[in-house]
Amino acid sequence: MSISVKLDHVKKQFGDFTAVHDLELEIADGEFFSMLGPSGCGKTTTLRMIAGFEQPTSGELYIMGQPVAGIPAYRRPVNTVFQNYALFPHMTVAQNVAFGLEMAKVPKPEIEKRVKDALALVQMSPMSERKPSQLSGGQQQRVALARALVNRPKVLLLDEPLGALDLKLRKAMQLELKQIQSDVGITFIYVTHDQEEAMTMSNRIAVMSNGYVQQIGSPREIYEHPQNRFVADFIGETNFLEGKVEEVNGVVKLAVGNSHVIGRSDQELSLGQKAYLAIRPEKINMYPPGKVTVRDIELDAEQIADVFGGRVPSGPFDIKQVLKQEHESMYVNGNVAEAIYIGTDTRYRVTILGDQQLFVRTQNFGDRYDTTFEVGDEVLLHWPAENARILTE
Amino acid sequence: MSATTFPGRSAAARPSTRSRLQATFNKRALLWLAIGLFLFLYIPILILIIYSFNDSSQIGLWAGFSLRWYGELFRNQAVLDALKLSLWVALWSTLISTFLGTLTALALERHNFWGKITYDAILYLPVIIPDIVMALSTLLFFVVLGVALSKYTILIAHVAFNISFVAIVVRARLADMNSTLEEAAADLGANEWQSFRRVTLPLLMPGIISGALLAFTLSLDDFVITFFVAGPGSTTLPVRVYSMIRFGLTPEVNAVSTLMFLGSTLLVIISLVLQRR
Repeated sequence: MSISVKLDHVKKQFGDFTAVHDLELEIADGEFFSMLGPSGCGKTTTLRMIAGFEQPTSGELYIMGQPVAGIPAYRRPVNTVFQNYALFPHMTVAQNVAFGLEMAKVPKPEIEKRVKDALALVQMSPMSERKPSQLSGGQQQRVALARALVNRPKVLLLDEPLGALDLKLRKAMQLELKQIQSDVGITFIYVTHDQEEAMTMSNRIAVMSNGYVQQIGSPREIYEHPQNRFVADFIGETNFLEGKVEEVNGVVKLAVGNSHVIGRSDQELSLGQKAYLAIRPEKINMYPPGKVTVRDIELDAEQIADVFGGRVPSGPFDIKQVLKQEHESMYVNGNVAEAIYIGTDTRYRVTILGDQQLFVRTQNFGDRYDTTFEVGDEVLLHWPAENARILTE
Repeated sequence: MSATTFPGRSAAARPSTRSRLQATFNKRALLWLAIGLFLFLYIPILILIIYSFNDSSQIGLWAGFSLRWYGELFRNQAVLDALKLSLWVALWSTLISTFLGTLTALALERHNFWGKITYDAILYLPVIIPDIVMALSTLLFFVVLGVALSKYTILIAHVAFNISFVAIVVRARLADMNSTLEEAAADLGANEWQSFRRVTLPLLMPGIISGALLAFTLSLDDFVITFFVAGPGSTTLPVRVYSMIRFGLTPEVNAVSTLMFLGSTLLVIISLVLQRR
């Protein structure tokens, strides 16, 4: 796979403020690459450097293998979809889309054909004679996309293009953008602060904060294996338990209060070091403590049968008997402090180890399991080590 | 609206009604104040216009409607020459100051350069300092440089004060204009000139035209500065009117003033309409 955009130690300073620190990025040809982070993290500045609106303070930027330092925006083989669309208000939709081709001195008949095709691609053909002010936000968005794509750029830059749309339209446009990207096969570099948007569309995501890339990876890698506390916190919802590393042996034991919790880690840890256990609310199992029946719990009948010698017990049995058999897992007693029903699942706040809080999310299966919990209920929380990550700051 | 039918009773009964009545009263008072101010401003002009149609050579005596003085006016070669010079100065000073003023506005709004803040402040000076000071300083400038006064010195003086007005009007328009449009043009392959010609200039046009109309009006109406820097024989219309009234008020002066008033008003209205677009 060839590289379409490469950033080699790129740094950008505005006066005393460093917007982007020593950035290393390689974006593959045909990739849908997102830069995700809160505002002020440097993602837009990075995009503007690729577009040519800003010059890096130091470092080298390559587009299709060519260094682009000193090449002005209008000579770069990239096009941008701007956050507020930036359509030319005095031109019709068709004139807007034709603008880039006219600048490139494409022959008239070809311009007409390509404008028609581009408008068809974004389903805006019937609106070609309208002015931008006569279009809705979503339609302007489509025109902005057509205006950029019609030039057949090597790389398309998108700066929060869906930010101004309402939620429903945004979701529809996300899928459509992804579809268009795989149809045209152009590299998309997408800037957003919306993690769900980035997860939905991207092949890879660079999570950024304070001008640094915190982690680059596929949506799955970033969600399942966050490399630091920021990423775990920014992407999805995460519980953190602070503790000291007690034992590192494949599974990491973290001392929290006078008990301990377990998880796995990709990081070098030393004994006694301060660290955090990070675990997603949906990765914690919640059971009633003590005796349960098969109908009470969300566990595989076969797994239960294994424990009881090939026979699913008809009467109540101790839940811990089943959980203990699982390799490298832990359970901890807790009290439900809050229970919020939110349709597809229920969110619980559970107090454990005296004063620690964990959020737990259980899916609502309808009547498949009898168990629901209420505030004040005693519960047993359980997770396999691989469901939790141990992270340093 | 029973409250307005029985104002006294309702007002006594309910305090909220009273405050509403108070608001209505305030609104009426404001309206009458506005009407009063308008009359104060425009009654003199109205009288001037009415008396320009007076069929009497005595200024204060009404002797019936007539277009006599308008006829006299168009036979008065001195007035016609003055009008011609006024139009010449207005046209050229408008063209030059619109060009320079637009460039000034672009520089101040889109670029950063050393001394920008100072330049910005100085730009507003001709708008706020008294005409007489402008006039004196311009005259002094010509005298010090040893430039002979002529119609060209009038032109230069008019360009000097018009640049400010044009720049201010154009700049307001430019500030409203999203600068990402220029980035979008660059992104689509337009170099600076193409971007200016195809995007910035068309969007700026209403501002430029209204700035130009304002400049034209100001130049046409200017008396003080012109009076100081005019060379011998270079008489613009306002200066000619002034010299006419020195020999006594004639209805002819009323007629020429009425025409100037109508012309200026028309230009200002066009300028306002364009600014709203």
